[in-house]
Amino acid sequence: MKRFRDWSFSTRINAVLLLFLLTAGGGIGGFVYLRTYAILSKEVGLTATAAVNLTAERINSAFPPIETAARELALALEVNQPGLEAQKRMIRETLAQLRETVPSLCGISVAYVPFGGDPDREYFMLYGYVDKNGEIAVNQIGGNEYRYFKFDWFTIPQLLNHAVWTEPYLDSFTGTEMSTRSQPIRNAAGKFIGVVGFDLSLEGLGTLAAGADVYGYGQEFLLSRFGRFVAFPENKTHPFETEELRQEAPLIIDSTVFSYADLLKRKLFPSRDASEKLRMIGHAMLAGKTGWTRGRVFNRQEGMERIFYAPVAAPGWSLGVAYPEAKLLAPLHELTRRVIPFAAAGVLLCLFSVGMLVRRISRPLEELTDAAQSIGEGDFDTPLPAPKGLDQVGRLTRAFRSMQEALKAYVEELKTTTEARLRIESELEVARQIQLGILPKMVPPLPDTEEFSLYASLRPARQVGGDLYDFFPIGGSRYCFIVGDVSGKGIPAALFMAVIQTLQRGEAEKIQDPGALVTRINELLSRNNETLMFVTYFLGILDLRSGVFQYTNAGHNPPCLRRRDGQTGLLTSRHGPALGVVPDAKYSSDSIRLEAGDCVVLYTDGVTEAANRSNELFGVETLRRLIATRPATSAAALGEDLLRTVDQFAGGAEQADDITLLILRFNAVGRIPEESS
Amino acid sequence: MKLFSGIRVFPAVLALLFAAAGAAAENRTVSITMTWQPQAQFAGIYYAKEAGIFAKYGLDVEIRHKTAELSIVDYLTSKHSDFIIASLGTALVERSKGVPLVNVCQLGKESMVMLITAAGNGIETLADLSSPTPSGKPRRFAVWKVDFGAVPLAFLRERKINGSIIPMNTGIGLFLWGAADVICAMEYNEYYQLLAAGYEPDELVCFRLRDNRMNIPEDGLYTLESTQKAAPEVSAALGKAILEGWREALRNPEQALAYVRKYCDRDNSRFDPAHQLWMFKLYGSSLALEGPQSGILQRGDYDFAVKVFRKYELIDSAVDYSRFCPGTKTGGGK
Repeated sequence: MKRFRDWSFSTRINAVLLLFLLTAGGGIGGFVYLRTYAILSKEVGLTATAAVNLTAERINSAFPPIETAARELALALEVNQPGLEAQKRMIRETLAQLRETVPSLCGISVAYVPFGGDPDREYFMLYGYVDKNGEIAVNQIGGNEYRYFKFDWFTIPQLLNHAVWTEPYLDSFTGTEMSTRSQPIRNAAGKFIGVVGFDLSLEGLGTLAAGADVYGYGQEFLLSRFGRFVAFPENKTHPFETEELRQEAPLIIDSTVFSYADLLKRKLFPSRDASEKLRMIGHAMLAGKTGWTRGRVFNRQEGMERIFYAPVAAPGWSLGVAYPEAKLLAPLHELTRRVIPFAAAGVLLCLFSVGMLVRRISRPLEELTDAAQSIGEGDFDTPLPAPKGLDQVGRLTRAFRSMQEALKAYVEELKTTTEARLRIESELEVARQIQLGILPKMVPPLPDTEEFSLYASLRPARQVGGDLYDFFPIGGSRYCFIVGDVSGKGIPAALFMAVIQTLQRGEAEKIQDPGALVTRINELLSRNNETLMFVTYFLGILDLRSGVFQYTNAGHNPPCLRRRDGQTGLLTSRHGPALGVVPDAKYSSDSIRLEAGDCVVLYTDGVTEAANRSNELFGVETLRRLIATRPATSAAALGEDLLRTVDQFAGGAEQADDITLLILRFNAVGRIPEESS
Repeated sequence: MKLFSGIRVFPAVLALLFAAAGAAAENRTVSITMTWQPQAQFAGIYYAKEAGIFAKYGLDVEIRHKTAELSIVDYLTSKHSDFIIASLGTALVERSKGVPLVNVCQLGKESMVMLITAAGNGIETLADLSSPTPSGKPRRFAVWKVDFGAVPLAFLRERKINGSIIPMNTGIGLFLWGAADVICAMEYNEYYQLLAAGYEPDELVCFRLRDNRMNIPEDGLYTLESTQKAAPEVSAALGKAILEGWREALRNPEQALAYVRKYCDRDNSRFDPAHQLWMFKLYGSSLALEGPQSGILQRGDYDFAVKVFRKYELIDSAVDYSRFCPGTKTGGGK
């Protein structure tokens, strides 16, 4: 998988843009959704609550007139103690009068405890009701087949000694679902003797409750004091959508809100939450509270419902209405459904536009990239895209074109220069070969010479160096040894050196004295020396018969003398300036006698001034101590040893000057002197 | 073609008609009255009727239900019904009064009676029931007056629990309204009604009689001695059919509850599905349906009930076990 920074420009910009749009859009959308949700929730909440409150009040309005009438009838019976016919008349008149304001009133009963209404009667109950013809009838009922004083509507006010609205019940006499206002009748002594019962038919309540459904898709339900479902609107006998649930639906009338909650858990919704929520709603409603809550009561298909409820105060009942939440919030969902395609189209349009723009920018860049690749591979004539406009890409293209042209010119020039340099380098190499060819190769110069051994080495700092060494026999048993260091480096120095080499060999055949020989060479060099070049120069002549070593030092580093016993010293005598500086200078000479095993070490300043990486110099004293301490069994061994030590000291630092070393070891004639320890 | 097919079909129809007539002639018509209004307590009997189990035993059974006005035994004595479902307590009381009824099949194996009071009234143990209310009044006990009342009364007397007794005729209203402090309840019926009225289980303090040394089994099939003597095979068949009906019902609860609902609809009685489901499961688990002793009132149970009822003056006489349970060759002991 590619890393983000490896993605193409357009992909990256589009990705970031998409992320931004989704985040910002999601944030704004979410905020708007939640705000709208809150406002809509509040609005529907207020409307639904108002409707359920109003309807509860309307239902409730039937109860207080009945309560008052029941109280007044009981009081009239207590005070007047009327006879049978008078009681019948009172019942008829009260029923007729009250039904005008409360049409749901379906009957009035006056019932006494055994022998309480009449000392001769065990059963004494009068019941007034509206018969099939719409006429009010008052009958005397009760007997072994209907022991009215065993029923709750009678016994509960008897035991509690106050009036109650009974729980809804199916009256076995009339077959009507009803609730009774049971008002105790007391005798003069205040003792309970019977009950005045006003029966309120529940049949009309469902229709009345329908008013609570302000939106037209809610499900109303009326709960009694102890949670029994009292009524559903007649036109909504099936609060459930599926056939399976409809099987249960009519039966809900026989349930309480709590047993229905149990059914939810056991059968309808296999959800403990829905059941628990409904129990909570039931408790709140039975406690006479007004409010609303979310839950799932009736409608399995449409998900969550909102249940609004308000008390019906007089009988202690409660009215609820459950709306499918999806329908309540349908305007919000409709809005969301409409906005989402627009938002999606906006995002796509934005991505497309940005994609096009990025493509316009990135295409010339890609062409430039390809061109740069091609130029990098050496095709300087690769065509560049034509610059369009004055924007950054246009300027970049122009700059790239200038760069291409400059590069082309530079490379052409470089080619010419390189050819010239290669030619020069080739010539320098030839010059080097020539220079090295000038130096004597045979070491020792005479393979069968036993009187001395010799070691010579020249390592130029550049290809063509300015140092020189030489040795050659000059007749008889005498040998000449030379070390020099021409000022400057390169071809001029090499040519100057070649001149010296030629001069010294030529003049040495004629002049045997070192001082005179050097004086002559200086004279010849100084003549026509218009470039003012010079050379430090040491020339020594060894007589093998006597071991005498005569020498002249013209401004050169003092050679080191190592005696056989390891004692060392520098031949510090100076016999004049460097050659080529003063044309008429006269050079003298000195001499020493060499014993068998003595060594003379000639060198140039490339040895003593060899520097390491810390720019510390090797130094004359270090060289001298080294010569003293290292074994000198042969010139070659000592020479290689010294150069190796110098190399170690330099430690890989670049060699700044030519390094030249010439070591002469003198042996006794006919024998090899032993090295002293 | 038409004639030909008619000729072929005719003998088959004739044979079927004869067979049906023969079966109807063999089936013995009996009536049985339930001890309460239609509910899942009688699901096995409905099942036996509806699923043809009665017919299999050669019986054509008419099922009736008691109304609140009459004692269940009245249905026997008035010849309204050949058989009744009644509790052992009711049967013992009525037998002591001289009604010659006999147990022909025992259904229940244990007591489902409870005493229930609201939590937070200072009652935690049975002994607390005798204590007065916080306002100093004696506790009011709502006790069934007919049928089921004998067993809880025996229990209250045995435990020397004092209080005022209120007859409880029509359910839990007295308790809900606060007219009674303690209520008698069948675990499968009134207890659930309390939960259905909004009580949480932890808001009720319950004492089960079977857990308190008063485990008197309940429902059984009863008839008059004369009926039993006249046709003992009918009693035996009815008992067996009812037991089989219950076994099948418990195997097919959905169907059984559908039958319960049918009888509730028939008698215009309420059917609360959750309550009936509860009742069906709980009552069904309290029956002795399997094993050689199923259908037999155990001699030990009978003797214990007689002893307790006599001691607490609920009956003054009792017949022998073998006379009370004439169909039983050997009464099992506990």
